Amino acid sequence: MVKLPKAALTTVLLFLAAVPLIAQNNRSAVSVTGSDMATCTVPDPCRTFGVAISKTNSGGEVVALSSGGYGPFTIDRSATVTAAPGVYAAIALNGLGTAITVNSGAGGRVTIRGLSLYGFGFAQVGIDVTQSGEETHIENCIIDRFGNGDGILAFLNITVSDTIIRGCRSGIWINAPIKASIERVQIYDTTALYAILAAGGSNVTVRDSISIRSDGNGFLANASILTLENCLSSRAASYGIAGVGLGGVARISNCVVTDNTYGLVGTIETFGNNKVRGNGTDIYSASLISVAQQ
Amino acid sequence: MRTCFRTLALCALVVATPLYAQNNRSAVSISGMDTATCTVPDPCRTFNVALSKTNAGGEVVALTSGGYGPFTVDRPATVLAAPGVYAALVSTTGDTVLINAGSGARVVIRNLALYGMGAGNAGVSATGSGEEIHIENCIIDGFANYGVISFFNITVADTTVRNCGSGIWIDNAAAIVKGHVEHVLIEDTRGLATPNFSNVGVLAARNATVTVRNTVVVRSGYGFYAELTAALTLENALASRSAIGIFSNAGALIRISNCVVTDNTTGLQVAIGSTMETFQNNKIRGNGTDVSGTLTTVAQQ
Repeated sequence: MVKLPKAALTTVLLFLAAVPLIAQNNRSAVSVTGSDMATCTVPDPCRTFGVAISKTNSGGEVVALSSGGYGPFTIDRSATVTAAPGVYAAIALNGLGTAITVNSGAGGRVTIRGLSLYGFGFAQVGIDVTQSGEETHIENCIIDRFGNGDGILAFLNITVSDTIIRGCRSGIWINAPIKASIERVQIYDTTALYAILAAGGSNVTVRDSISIRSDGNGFLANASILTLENCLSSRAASYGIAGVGLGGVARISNCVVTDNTYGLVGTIETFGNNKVRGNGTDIYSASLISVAQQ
Repeated sequence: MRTCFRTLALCALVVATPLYAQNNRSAVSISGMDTATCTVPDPCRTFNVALSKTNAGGEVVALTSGGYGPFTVDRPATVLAAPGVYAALVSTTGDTVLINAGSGARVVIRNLALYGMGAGNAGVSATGSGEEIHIENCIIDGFANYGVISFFNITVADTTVRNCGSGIWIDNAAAIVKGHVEHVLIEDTRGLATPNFSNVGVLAARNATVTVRNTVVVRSGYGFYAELTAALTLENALASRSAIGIFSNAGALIRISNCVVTDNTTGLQVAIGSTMETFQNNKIRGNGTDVSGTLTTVAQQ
């Protein structure tokens, strides 16, 4: 056996320890023709998001450069993961599991933009925001058929905007004392539970968003505050909009609630400008509290 | 006995073979070949062939800009162009996209541009079979009869329908059908010179219950029209430059809220035996006749 002198060994160890820091990118890239042995830069892209993220500085970005499938991944640091405009970057999961897991650490800030997630009716979660992270932004995504779970599952602060969620067991499931903002989101064909659930003491604001056909409920607050502005709930097999549980309230303004089995249910604060007609029962077991617009 | 097992094994292999040949994600490209495997690295040329090689519930993606030709969706599937790709389909006869996906099927048509050249029957015809049809981010132009016609549940979102005989036609003679129209621009529905059923922006008939939001019909025979037992709910819609802006006919129910109805020959028309409910927040001005018939006032909550 060849013995290295102590000083040389120390030098080698220090070098090895330093290598990951040297190898990180501020901007990493993936491509369907890339290789995970590459440097994950734009001229030398990797194949998968998981490897590209591992070579990206905290706060950096990973960009998909070409259309195709990239596979499930975890975001383990602050990062933006995006498809370049004009690129169709799909994450398909044909079985149980999660397409994207956010575990970005305390104070982590994550943006997921322009990705299309497919669960084929079997997968459990499109985007899991339950592990760690401070703020997660989901923008311009398509989340399709996570039939054994939720399009988005959040126990940590999220914003969701300009996103379409179709055919999931629940669209957006929030169950923790967090803040969430949902803007211009279309939720279709919810297969069992809720288009949007605000639970666990959360405070959720939804604007200009719709739930069309839920085989469970549309928008429901359970022991949480759910503010709805300019939303539509239609074709829910159970409740269109509901506020239930201790302290649970749905505040509604400029909303249309129609063609649900039950329109408004439970504790509802209304600004007196909602259109609730054509449900099996428009107002069912509900306490409607009028509040004045200012 | 051994020969018997071999024969059985061979038969099982032959029966199973089609299952191996399917993709979860297929692809088409204008430089593709229909003899290819229809995968992203080896795309096909036409949607029809790509669909035939796609698993039920899978997707077909157009990777490059150009024309792809009419197709039939014969299974649950998503058919789309990648963002930034202009995938056009031209058909001067029949339907450009026919949906015949089977009972219980979900179909998504996204980001395609359909052209009828003034002659094709329909841009999207959901008249074969299917349970939930989604049309998103499409352009549908120049179909002699229908931009979209559906006998099955349908949503149309973020789409422009121009120069068609009628814009969106939702009807089923025998079964309940639901529709939702979100952020759609319907322009210049032409049809016959004398306005009748042949030129309507959005039609809900018979067993249809349809909601419409943030949607515009400009220049039509009827802007928004419901007949027989259909129900049509309009929120933040605009009807302009039509013979009749919003028309409830033959026992139908229309609800209107936050709508603008202006510059039509008749703004609102309610036939005897039909209903139009207003939440008293609509702007009906500047029509030849603003209101013909009786409106029913309902309270906002």
